[in-house]
Amino acid sequence: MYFWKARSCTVQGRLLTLEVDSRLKQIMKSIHKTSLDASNDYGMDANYVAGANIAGFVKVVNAMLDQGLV
Amino acid sequence: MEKIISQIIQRDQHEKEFHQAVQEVLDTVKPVLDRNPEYRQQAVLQRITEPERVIMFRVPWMDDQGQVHVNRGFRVEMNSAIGPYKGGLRFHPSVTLSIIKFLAFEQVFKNSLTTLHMGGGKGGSDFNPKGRSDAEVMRFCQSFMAELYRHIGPNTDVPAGDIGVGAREIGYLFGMYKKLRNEFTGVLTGKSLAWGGSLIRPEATGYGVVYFAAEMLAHRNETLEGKVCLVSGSGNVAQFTTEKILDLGGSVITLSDSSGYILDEEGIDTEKLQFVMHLKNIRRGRIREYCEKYPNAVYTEVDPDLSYNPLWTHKADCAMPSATENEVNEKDAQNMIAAGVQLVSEGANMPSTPGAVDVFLESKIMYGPGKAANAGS
Repeated sequence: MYFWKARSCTVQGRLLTLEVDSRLKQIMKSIHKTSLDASNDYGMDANYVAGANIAGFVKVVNAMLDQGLV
Repeated sequence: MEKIISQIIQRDQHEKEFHQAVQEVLDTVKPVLDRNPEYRQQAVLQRITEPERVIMFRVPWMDDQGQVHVNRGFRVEMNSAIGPYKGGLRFHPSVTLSIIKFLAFEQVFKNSLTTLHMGGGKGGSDFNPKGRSDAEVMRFCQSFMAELYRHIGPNTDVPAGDIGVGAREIGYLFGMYKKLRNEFTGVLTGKSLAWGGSLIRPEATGYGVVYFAAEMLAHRNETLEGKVCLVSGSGNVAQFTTEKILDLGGSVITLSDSSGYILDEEGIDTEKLQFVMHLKNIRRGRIREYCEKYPNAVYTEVDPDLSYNPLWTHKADCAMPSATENEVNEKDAQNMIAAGVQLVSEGANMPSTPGAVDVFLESKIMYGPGKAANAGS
């Protein structure tokens, strides 16, 4: 009976892991696209360094400006 | 722009790692400032490079022989414009305020990219858990948390693990936090599954690095299938990077730690990876022991006189630096390109020096910087 319990837990855990794993995949897909788009927007070809910096920067800076000088 | 950099350098002259991280960001966001003149007037660069809060504190603890030690604890709360501060804790002898500031600064950008509502922070201590008993690590973690607890909380600041802070340390830290606050809340990520940890947390960074690599390849109509990869490091990120590469049909031939690296030309398969996980996470041994178990692999000791890391000279298609900052220099980057590497996806934070980054960008290979590739953590 204990054996059965442990097994069912593992199976449930594994299913949930798969769900979170596919969510992570989506997040990475979106990070890739965001970086690529920002890089293209500023006339660079797949420069992920510039793209990631620019996309991350703009989002934070706009939120800072919206919230005033704090 | 130059003036802002020189002001930052003047203000904290010895913070080399922080300057390096700031320099890279400011270089790349210049066109954004040119397009938005308001940003200059609002001094956004000066504001985003200054931490909202820096906490530095004494961490006294007693070893098993009764000797008292004093370490220094840090928490840099960099930016909370889009959510509570979030970022790991690092326990390593190399930790300084400069290292924590650079990591916190990078974390702001990474968390911003994930589309989740998280600000950026980072913390840690110059404590070295290597060679310490569980009881010593516990006493250190309790002393560390006895100060940190008043600065963190689920809506304020949510620390996680990093180098030297794994499931064991998170457990001790969380236990002390819970005792002091008298509440069981989600204040630390990376907790054990058995008592409320999230299901994927330890795998997230490494898996994300490989998913990012797969995305860069997909953009060029390629896949990881059959690709040979060089991975450095053998901690959490390196382990799960290896696991996901195998999952997607690639192979991994190297892993390393601070003493040296192993080369297994037959490939590190799932069974061998299980051995590495047990070796590193449970037995806390050295990567050289891999060769005792699998004699066909070759171990190479770190040579401090060498100006490059021989790990990056082996023929491969992809490289995933997953050890630590500045582990890949200009020469290493050139060696990678010469060895046929077409893709670099960074698991560590800022593993490539500015010279190495220039080599990657000039050679037009697929280069996923840590800020994007390991943002899934």
